[in-house]
Amino acid sequence: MTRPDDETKLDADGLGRLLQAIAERRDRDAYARLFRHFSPRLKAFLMRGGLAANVAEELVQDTMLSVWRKADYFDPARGSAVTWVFTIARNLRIDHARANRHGTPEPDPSDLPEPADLSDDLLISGERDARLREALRTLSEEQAQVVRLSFFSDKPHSEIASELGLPLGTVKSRIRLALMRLRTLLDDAE
Amino acid sequence: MTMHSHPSDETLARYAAGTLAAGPALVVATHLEGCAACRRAVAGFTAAAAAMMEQLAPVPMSDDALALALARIERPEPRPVRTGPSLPSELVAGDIRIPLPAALATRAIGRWRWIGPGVRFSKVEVPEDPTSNVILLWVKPGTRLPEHGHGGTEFTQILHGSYFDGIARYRAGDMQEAGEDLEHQPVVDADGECICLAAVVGGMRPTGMIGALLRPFLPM
Repeated sequence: MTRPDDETKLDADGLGRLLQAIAERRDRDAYARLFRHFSPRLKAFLMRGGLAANVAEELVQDTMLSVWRKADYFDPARGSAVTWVFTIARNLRIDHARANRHGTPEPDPSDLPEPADLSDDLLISGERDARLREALRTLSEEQAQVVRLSFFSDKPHSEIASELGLPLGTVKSRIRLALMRLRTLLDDAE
Repeated sequence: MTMHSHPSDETLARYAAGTLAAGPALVVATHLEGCAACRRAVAGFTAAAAAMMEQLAPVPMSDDALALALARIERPEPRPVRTGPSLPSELVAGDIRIPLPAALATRAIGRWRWIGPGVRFSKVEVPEDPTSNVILLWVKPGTRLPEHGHGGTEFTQILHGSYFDGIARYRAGDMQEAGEDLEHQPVVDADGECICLAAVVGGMRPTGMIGALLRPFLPM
């Protein structure tokens, strides 16, 4: 898929408008643009968590189908489009792990109940979300790296330490400090 | 001043990102049901995780991915499934009846089994997570659990009653996250029975309290 760069680089407001276009008039062009933006990023996120490329890609497809069907639940006042889509992917991955282990067929995403995390008190306002993204840019690269690792990888600290070539204690204290800093940024963004 | 005990930031962050193992995630979900502060923290960490996803190097989809996606949205939407048989809503331990945490409603829970003086447990099935054992513990008032260190992390949510571990007191609604460096000896308070939900991570070295108690019962 070769597309001009500006098609895959959309800001949060632009993504939110595309979601609203789907909700209001089942806009297939908007859906294609959202798909081009989100699918390679969702795939990267899912693979970081240890999924094989083909499984990650299936879950991306399920996530995007759910985005199409549930677009009218998206409310820009209650969180960004990125957070909304991310939450759907995260929940589907958790359901996928559970369904697989039970040997039961995977549920169609539209059969699933509303993800609990989309209820009111589990979303932060769109404005706070925007300030959070600003704040994230103030993390040093070193901090951003350990925050990414502690969020997205299911590896134990010891494995992260050997990958980074750092003592275990250093990794532990870096993660603690970086998350503390992130937590401060989150509290400030309220 | 009452100190409340919560999951660590890292645990909440991993929960928000969906990378916390299912066993501990079940204990955290139970904590969140009663803790607005942690729900807000998870909301913030979720937004942060989403923002960081945007910064990851994208991994291209296969060539026909968009065509497949556009075809799938044309298929008729299945009707929503009706909810199944009504699920248990109470947790019963002798004379104690407490609301079953919603996070446990769809989990198979075994019957209470004696495990030592004053202590019973029942197993909560989390088959998708082979790295942890999840149990409910029911401990009689005043019971002193063996002094112990931890082979892995133990996540314990107090559902009813309270205990004191020599360092702090944990009450219903609190979650204790005990790392491998903690040595403690919990004593259940004399004024009532204590019921906890615990996930024991690191099944290969069950030197933690619950791990040690469970060793004869579980293939760990």
